[in-house]
Amino acid sequence: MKNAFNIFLITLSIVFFTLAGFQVYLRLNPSRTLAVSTVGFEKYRYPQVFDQVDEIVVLSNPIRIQIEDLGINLPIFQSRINNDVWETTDKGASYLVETPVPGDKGNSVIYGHNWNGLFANLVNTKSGQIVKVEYEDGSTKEFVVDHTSIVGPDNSEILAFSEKPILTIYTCTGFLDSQRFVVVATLKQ
Amino acid sequence: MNKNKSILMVTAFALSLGFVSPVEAAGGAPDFGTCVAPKGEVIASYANGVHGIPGKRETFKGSDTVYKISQDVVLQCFCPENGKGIQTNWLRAKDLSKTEIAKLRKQGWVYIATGSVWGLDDVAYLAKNVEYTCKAGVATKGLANTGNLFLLNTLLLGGMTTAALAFLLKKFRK
Repeated sequence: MKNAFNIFLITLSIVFFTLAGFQVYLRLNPSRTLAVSTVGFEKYRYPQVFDQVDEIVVLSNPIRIQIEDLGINLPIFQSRINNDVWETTDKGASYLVETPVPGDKGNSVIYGHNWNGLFANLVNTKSGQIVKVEYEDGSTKEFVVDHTSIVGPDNSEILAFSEKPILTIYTCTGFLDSQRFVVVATLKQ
Repeated sequence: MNKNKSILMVTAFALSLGFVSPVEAAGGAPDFGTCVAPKGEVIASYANGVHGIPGKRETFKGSDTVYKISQDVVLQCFCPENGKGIQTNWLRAKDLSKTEIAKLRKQGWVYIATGSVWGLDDVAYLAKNVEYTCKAGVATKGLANTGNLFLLNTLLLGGMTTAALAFLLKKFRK
């Protein structure tokens, strides 16, 4: 009986370590780093279904975010909040579609994991750095980092409406990723 | 005689169509659009301040932008901190008949003797307020979970604990 329990504990231990290893893989995944940083973004530009129609409907949704000073160059995926759970992706940055399109009046929100190849370097953002956002229609807008801050995970004030077009970018930081590093950038005129 | 009378009536009706005011022609007030997507020329804009709203005695604090849609039509968009905005539709009453004014007042329009105190032309206006949402903030209890260190450490701790338990169990069994 004790032997069976011992085997159960060892099995459980292996499961825990395997899952922990997967989490480490998610953080450090070198293939993702390679994919999002060096491969062109053309394949993300339009959904595949558009290849089958004559007329491409061009929307002005953001499709890519770049902060050259930090080596951040990521595709943007649309996301929503479902029952207070934010959709996230490990393939790029997430744009919260409930917020205005970056550059429009209001507070646009983009967020992503603090993993290698994603927003790991976001914590090194400094005021004055340029954030570029590319749109589906091929246009680009530039934002200037105004300030950064560290807030708690429940601080939804960073999502508050703004009279001016601002871009809020955030990722996890701090002890056990318990805080959020927030970058606020204003539209470059 | 009857034929002449009929011709006269038809002519009078046809002529009357040409003199119908925009209010009557539209069956009510003209189209003001909405402050959510306002149109027209901005003739006044205040980022912050205390503003009056026609038909309301109290004053309101917030931003205020006024759009001139046409010579007779003005749109005022007021937005307070709480996001419950007030859109005021302004219609010049100068060219309206008493019947038209009475009709609009029955529909909730307020008669303003002169627009000059509101920064508009020194003529009579009719005004009507409509509520709108001007600050569409995101309603959520918290932010996204964009890290996995807590989960990672929990799993490592769980793995080490169960491994230690298994080791101790084996040791004590001996």
